[in-house]
Amino acid sequence: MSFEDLIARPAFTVPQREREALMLPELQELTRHHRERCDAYARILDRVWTGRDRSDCVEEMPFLPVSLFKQIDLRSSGEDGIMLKSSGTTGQARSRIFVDPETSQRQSRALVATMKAVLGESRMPMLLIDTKKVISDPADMTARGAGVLGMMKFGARPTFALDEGLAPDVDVIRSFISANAGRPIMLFGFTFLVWTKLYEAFADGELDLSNAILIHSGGWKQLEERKVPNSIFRQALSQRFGLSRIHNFYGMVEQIGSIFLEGSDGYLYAPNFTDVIIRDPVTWQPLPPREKGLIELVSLLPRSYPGHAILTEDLGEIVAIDSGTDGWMGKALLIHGRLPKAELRGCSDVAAAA
Amino acid sequence: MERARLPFCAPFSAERIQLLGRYAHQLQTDPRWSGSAPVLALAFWLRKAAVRRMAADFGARAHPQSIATARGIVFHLPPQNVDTLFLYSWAVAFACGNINVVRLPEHMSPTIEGLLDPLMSLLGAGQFEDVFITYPRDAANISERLSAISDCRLVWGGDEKVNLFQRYPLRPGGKSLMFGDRYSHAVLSAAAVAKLDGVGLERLAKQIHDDVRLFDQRACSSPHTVHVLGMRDGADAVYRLMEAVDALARQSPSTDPSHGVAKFAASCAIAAAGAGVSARRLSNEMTVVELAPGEQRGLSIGGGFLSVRAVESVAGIAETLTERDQTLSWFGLEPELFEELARQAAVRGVARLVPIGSALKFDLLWDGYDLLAELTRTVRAQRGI
Repeated sequence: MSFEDLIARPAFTVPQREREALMLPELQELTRHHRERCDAYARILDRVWTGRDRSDCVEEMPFLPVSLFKQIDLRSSGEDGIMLKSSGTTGQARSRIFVDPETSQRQSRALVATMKAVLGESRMPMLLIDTKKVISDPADMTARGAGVLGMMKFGARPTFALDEGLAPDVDVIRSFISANAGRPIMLFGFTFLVWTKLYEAFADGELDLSNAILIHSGGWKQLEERKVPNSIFRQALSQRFGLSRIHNFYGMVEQIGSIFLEGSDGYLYAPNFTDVIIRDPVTWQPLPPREKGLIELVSLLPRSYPGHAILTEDLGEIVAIDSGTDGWMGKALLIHGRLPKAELRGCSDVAAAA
Repeated sequence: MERARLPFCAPFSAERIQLLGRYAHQLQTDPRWSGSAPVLALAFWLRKAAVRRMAADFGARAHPQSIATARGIVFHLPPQNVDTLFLYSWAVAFACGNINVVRLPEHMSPTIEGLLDPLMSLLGAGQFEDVFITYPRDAANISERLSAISDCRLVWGGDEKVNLFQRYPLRPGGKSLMFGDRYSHAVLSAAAVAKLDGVGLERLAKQIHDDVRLFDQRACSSPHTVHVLGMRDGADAVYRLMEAVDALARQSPSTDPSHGVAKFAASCAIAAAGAGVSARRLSNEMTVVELAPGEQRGLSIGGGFLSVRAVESVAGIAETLTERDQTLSWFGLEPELFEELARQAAVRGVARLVPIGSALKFDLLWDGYDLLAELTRTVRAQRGI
């Protein structure tokens, strides 16, 4: 199986052309797999995609819009499993993603293979820039909780840096750092929490994190509102804490396990068993590198729900294919934020008091 | 707020007709609006000849031995998101001689401001007392006090807004016109579509395009479901028509990419639920879903999203309608069929049947109200026994 071939190789090393050739047959098999097991998906293929389930290239694969997972439950497995929910603000619909043991295992293996590319083989002591509370209720697991839980297995003796009210626990942080002085440590947290609860909570030179590798994720929206682009983020952490090995990642609950990891050049790379397609926002035709468009994510992981090709509502561009930076191959992606939402017009006022 | 004692004006006075005509002329000749279909439609509706015709119609139906006057103070609560509707609401009441209080959104769009500026000058020069106001959305006491001095109130917007204003009484004897949530449809005869030549098909496509695209298909009268009589033999013609509508839409694209994705998600959800037998994204502008047998209506997604429903008879259309349905814009029905549809639809509570292409044209008969009658008083002036 091509998934096994792809995951066996170091995570970012399969060149684009070879990767597509290896992925395509298994993607087609996935489409058939989901068609047979998920009636709703079969109806979408027949009625929206007019029956298409053979494609000559990855770009021609039928895909689902990411917001569909907020509207209906789609599952391709009769096994027991868990329903993952995206984090969402009050009143917003959340995605519901069904994950069974098989898919869960694929996700874990994929994450391990991906993280190995920056963390190496051995587990480092791990400081989580979050509160223990975020993982305490398995019945109501948010994407943030799932992310924390998923990352915890990559470190040793995970320590939570924030208290229940999300305030930095200075004693815990200091004793973690002094206990691990001189050996490699790993930090993980959501980008906004890393910035507000770590960077902003300490002064220059107050903590020495020169031995740390930071993995962070969660989107740039809140930081962009504070005018903190990725370049400033990297520079500021380096200056304040001597923290220079920083890897952002991009992924979503609808394709959990498939994460795009930031290389040393600051771009996000697709691991071997994934691909990314940029589409014209209006025509949805695939765009060449350096053109901005809608991001479609392709992954071999999802078998318990039909999420192997998803049209996101994020904008991005491919900046390079097979750049070879640190030996990393495949597509290097730059994210340009969310597709702006249309303002609704109409006779019916949204707010009653209007 | 004390209600001033003012004389009741006569409807359609010369100054009022003249002011409306001047305003229409300014809008028609201002290059700023040359590309704005909603503003040009408003200006056309308010042009001098049209208002004169309105006045003549009003005069023609006067009761014998009666005098018509304005109702008094009219409080308008237009929707927040249709930039031009407040002017239709205002203009009819103004023509009828009323003093108007029009509440505008707190954050006025440049369109609203641009429409208001010349009107304020005209009203000021003519010493009219109409006021256009804004106040915070939570200032319920203002809504309450304005209602208390009003003889008539026009509430446009959703049911929630309508219900909210039910709480505030008007002055004794005042009346409230409520324009709540409505859904609208189109009705086509596939056989009539199939008979059209190229020019006829283009013309029909343009009419549907106008009904669907103005206000992004989110006005109460914008059609969402297209009931097709004779779909079985005429499906090709109907899809040719839809493609022609899409081609027109692509000439002036207006659909945001995020809404394009939302329409696609809706298509997938409808297909997944089995409610649609096909969903075609003709382009980012237009999506056409064909409803499964047994489905009565499509979702009001808006922004270029039509649900085609095959029906066997006029009764098959009428039986799905309720008083929540507003406009049926129709094409190609034989006169007897149209009469039958109109009769059946009217008793089920539908408010308008109009030829296709006219769905969005503002009408003095709206949501079952005869606006000229509602906005005037009729005083019995009996000469003898």
